[in-house]
Amino acid sequence: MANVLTKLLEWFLTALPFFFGLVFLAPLAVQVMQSFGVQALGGVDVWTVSLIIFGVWGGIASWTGRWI
Amino acid sequence: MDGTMDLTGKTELELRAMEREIAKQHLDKFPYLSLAWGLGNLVCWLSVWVLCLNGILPLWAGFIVATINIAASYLPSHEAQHSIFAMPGKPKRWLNELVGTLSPIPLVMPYSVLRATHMEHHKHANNPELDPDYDLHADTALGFLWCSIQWRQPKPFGDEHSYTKCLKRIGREDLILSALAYRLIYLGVLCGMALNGLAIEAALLWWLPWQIAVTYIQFYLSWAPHNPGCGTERYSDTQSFKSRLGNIWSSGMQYHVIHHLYPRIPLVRTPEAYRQLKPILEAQGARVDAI
Repeated sequence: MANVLTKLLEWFLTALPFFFGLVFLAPLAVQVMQSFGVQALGGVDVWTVSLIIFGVWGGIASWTGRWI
Repeated sequence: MDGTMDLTGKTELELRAMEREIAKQHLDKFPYLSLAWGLGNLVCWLSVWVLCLNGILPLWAGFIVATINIAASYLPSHEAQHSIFAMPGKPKRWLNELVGTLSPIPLVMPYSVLRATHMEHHKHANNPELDPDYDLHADTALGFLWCSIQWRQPKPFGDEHSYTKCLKRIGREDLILSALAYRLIYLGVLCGMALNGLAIEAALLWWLPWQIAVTYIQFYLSWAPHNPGCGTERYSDTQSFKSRLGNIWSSGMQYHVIHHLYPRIPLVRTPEAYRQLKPILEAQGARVDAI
């Protein structure tokens, strides 16, 4: 049981950048854009754009261990 | 003693004894300023949150104050790490632990982790294998900036974080969980605020100030006093330096050499101790020519 919990924790920690991208950076980007009156980029809703960009970026950070 | 003292013919041991006599004058002085600073700084940082979230203080002003607060949050804890408020077993020890614990909360670092890793830094300063702060070594300020950015990546330099490695090496894996708990609470606050429409507030009151403050702290506490080319011996593992910002705005680190020689001298007394000790330190081969 302890091993399973350890593995789960390790997985969660590895995936943290992905979650951080989706749950913090994406909403942050949306709220910044909305504060400048931007609601869509190229006809696509800012939420969709932000979730894709920061989901992918966070996913890469989880995979490689670095944001930049 | 002053800068004109005659040290000719003194042996290394005699110089060391003279050094200790001067250092003694600065030990066991209660650091009232650090006490007020440590607790006041935390209260100020928390107040900024309340004022900004209630629309009383503009967010841009909150950002500036929060950045200063986080940058200033480490040093009172640093005094506590060296038991400068009170040694173990002394009546005021609780105060030492209180300041040590509360002061670095904005920095998202548990006191226990800071203390354990900092003691290893003192034991092994500039040792590439054993100094937990060695990852910040670089030949230039720009090189330091890159190291600092790497230091905060999920896997710094493609490896485990140097603090994690250090805690494992000294058998304090339990402290890794404390650091993790702090980190998760921090991320929880940021993400919780973001999901409630307060992402900009979270970014400007904690996330971005933390990034700037960590860079500042690492620059003045780790890089400038230990780079470039410091050795690993008592008189070579750190140096004095002249800061463009002056001593106060560089966190009093111009005289860091005193801190490594006598870690229990309070920060505010290091300039005076430095001026008194400088001739002896020069004779001992310390790097004290910058100031």
